[in-house]
Amino acid sequence: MILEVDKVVKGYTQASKKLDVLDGLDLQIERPKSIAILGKSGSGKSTFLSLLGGLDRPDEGKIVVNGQNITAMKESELAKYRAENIGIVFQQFHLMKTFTALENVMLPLEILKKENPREKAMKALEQVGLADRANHFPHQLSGGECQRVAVARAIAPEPKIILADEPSGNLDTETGESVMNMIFELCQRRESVLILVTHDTDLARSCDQIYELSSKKLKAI
Amino acid sequence: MTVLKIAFRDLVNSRGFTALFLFNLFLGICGFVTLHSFRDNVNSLLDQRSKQLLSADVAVSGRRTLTKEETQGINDYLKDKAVEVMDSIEVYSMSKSKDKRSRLVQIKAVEKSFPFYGEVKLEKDTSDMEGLQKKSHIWVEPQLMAQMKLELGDPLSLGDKTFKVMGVIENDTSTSLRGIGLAPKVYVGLSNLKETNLISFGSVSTNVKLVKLLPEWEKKAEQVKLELGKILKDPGLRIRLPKDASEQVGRILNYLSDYLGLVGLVALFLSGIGSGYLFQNFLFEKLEDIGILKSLGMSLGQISMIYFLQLGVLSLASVLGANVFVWSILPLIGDALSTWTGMSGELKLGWETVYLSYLVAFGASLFICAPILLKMVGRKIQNLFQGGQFFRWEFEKRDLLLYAPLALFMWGLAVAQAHSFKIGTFFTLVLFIVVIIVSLGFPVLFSFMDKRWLTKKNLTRPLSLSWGLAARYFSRDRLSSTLTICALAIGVMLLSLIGQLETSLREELEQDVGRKPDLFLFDIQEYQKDGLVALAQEEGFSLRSPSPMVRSRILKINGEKFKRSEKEDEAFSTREEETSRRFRNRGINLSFADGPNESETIIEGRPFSGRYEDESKPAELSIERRYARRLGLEIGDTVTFEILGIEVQGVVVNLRRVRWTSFLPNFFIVFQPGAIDDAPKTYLAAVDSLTEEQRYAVQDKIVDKYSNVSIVSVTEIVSKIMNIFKAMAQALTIMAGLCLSIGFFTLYAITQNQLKKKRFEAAIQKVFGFSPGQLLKTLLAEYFILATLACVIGLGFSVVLGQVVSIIFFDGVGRPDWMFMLKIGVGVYAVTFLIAIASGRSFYSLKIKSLLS
Ligand SMILES: Nc1ncnc2c1ncn2[C@@H]1O[C@H](COP(=O)(O)OP(=O)(O)O)[C@@H](O)[C@H]1O
Ligand SMILES: [Mg+2]
Repeated sequence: MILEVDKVVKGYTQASKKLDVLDGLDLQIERPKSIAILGKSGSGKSTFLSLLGGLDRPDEGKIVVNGQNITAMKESELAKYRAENIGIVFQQFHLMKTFTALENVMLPLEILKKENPREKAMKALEQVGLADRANHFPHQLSGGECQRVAVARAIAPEPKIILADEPSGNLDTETGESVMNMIFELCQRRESVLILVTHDTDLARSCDQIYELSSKKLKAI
Repeated sequence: MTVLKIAFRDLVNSRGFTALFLFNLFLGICGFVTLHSFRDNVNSLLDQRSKQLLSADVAVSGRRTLTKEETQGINDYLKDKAVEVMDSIEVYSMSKSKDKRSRLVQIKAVEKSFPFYGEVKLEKDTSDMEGLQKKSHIWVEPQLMAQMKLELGDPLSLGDKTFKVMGVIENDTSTSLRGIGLAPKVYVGLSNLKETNLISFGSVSTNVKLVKLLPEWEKKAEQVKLELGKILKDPGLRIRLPKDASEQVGRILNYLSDYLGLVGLVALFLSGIGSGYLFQNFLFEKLEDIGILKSLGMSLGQISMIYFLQLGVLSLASVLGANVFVWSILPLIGDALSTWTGMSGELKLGWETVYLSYLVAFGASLFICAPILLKMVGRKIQNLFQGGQFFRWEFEKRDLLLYAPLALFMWGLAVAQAHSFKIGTFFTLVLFIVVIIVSLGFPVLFSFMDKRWLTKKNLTRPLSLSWGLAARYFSRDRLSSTLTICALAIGVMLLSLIGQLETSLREELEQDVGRKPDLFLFDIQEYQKDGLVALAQEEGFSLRSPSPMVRSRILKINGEKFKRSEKEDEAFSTREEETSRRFRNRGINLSFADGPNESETIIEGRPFSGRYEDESKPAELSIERRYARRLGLEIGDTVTFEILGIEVQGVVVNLRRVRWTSFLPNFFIVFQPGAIDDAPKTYLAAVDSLTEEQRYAVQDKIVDKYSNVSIVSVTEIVSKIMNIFKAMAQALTIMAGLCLSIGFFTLYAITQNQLKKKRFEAAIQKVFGFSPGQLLKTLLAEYFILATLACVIGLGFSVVLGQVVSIIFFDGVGRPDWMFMLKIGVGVYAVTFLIAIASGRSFYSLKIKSLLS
């Protein structure tokens, strides 16, 4: 079992009003594959991803990744878990502006103290086809190129799980498609789990399995 | 009107920017307003007191007795203009108590109607001017009572006569700067001075005629001065009006406030940098708005109007604040002024200061921010919509033109603040050179370092991941890094420089303490010289060879007549003009010697050829180099002197450098031996190496035998100079401290501005596994680099400048004060880290989830 989500509850309190976003959500993934999560805006997709990524904690229930219960982890363990197991691709790329493309990809490798971070980062950049732009800064790259750098950054440490939150949302259709194809291909080659959040049903169909988040739960379609 | 509405809504919505900008400009203007107001008040207090300082409407003074014709001329001229004319004489002399203690005093012999204005108030009103005229009465200043352990009624000898102390002076309106004079004052009745036999040839006495004009002539004092000047042709005689008297006193304080003014200008400049940065960031966030307004058809002028309006409101608010603040601390300044100078009076915030502060505030913010605004507003709509994210601050050649008005503005302010074209221009040039080096040099340096050490390396280089990241942040965010370094480095430099100068001066004064004389003797009469040498041998103290002093005045230079300056009444004169004018109108003391003494070196020309023999040729002269520059003298020039009515010609053969702090007898002009040896003269001499007890014992012995010889304690003078300088250094340090605070405030403002960006990047790092500890380490590493660079640059410059100044002014190389620099360094690191930690605190509680939206 790679991933096991068990009766997770998550809500937000705002202005003394409690808003339940996820309630009793379950999910099991046994072997590497790609899954898509569809859902209306505001249905809690990003919230769910943030729980998987260890960016936030559930109110109830537990999440077990590779036998580790991440809901019981301390903040410092969580940081280590994130670095080793999870790669995240954001809708807004979130690259460090003062760092070159290569340095952005190197960052997680260096934090993990991996051997030969340079070479590994270069290879990841090659895989997204940006080897020749390695020393460019984000402001010198187009939106699609920035997202490809972000993808390279997410896959470079070879994580077991890649979380992608509407990665093509900020790109035009064509660029978005090519970035998506790249993500699919890389995940397949590296045998990692891809959890893709999208509201594009066509895109979702390219995944091994499709879920929909509605009424605070995941339903397989 | 939409423009107004948008302008105010923006300001209210960007409260952070508004507050930072206001406070920053406020700090800068505060320094300026405080100084201007200080100067203004000093001058107006002096103005009010000027008649009391002079104690008359007009005073004619000279270092000789007036001739019969001169006196006659004055009396004839003043017959129908003056209420009364009285004489007074000032002379330095030793006083002796009954237990043979001796001290140098400044005797002021006055008539019973003294002073025409003001008062000499005694403790417990033990006497009055009428009483002072009695045979043996004197009044003394309290410090002399303490020094000589005197009681009221005790005897005190001056010259050949013994007096009785009948009054202790509590307040004397004719004393300008309390405690700064060479010696304490003693009042004597004018008719009693003669019996002291102190007024012999060569004694340093000043004869003063004090005039009280009729009311209708009081207003025409300027005319009286001019006409008296025509009657008294000798430029060695000074004719002074109340305002001249106060100018003399004001000069010292104005010197101080001039330099304070320049430091204040640096503060203003720094706060300008900070404000400019803030404004630019503010505009960055408004780029999209500007784009929208433009696309909706608003004209460039209207859009600019929005931001100029905001600038205007902000400047107005900060200058109002600064005025109110300074107004509220005026009593404090007044206290400082009165303890320091004895001048008291209510300080006011003058209109001129207020006007000027508005000019400065609006000028500074307009000239700094307008170029930024013009550059941004002028962009294409397309670029504007890309927002601040894609806007790169690039320096183009035409920016120089945009900033030219700022440069001119600064230059004008500097000249006005320093009251000197030369100093103001020099200051501006230095500032510009620094700015150009920094604004062009740092970016180049950073990108070089980046290419050389960072880009092609792992992120763990140099040192560790935290350092690697910090180094990259620092070298790549060039604008912020450059500005923060600048702001801090300039503050550090000023603070350290002032410390360096104080140390240099102290060391210079304390240097070779063993070799410095302890006592300095003057007014030694020619016939007393040999006796004094014998006394020294007898008593076993070492007397350095006495130097002759001949009084004269300069008649011609290269055959051209030296005249009383006509320009004296010009309203605005720069410091240089004033100084050279003062120099010219005075008599000059000459000496003669075989060559330079141990504190002198010839720096240009040749030594004397020996004794003066050939009377057909002018005698050879050696001139002190600064004095030569003042008079415009060069080697080969001829100077004609008048010594007691006889003309003597000399030709300059060399220029000398003099270490004045050696306190040996030194002269501006020295003749070769043989030329003026026969002229009437007195001698100066120095006595060496004594313990404190010996010092007074030797002094008492000399005075016992030669009552007319005046003796000053070099040690006392050195400590007096040090005290004055310390007070000045304190004032300067406060201003430099203000600069450094503004530097830190700029750092804080820039940090606040970057916080959003920094938090965002910290969140990304956290996603990839960075722990809060590592984040903090990275942040501290970045500020460590900043503090280190600021210290290295600031302290480095201060050492270099300190050396330059000490070479120019003290003819020596001072030793940098490492301890003081260390203290500054520690302080800078501490405050920088504090700011870093304060702004980094929010990183801990950071919700990285906010990255997903
Ligand atoms: N930090 C937060 N505080 C309060 N409410 C939040 C917060 N984050 C998200 N929400 C709310 O939770 C719900 C789910 O949000 P999200 O997970 O971002 O949805 P999605 O990604 O599916 O559009 C929304 O109604 C949103 O308003
Ligand atoms: Mg979302």
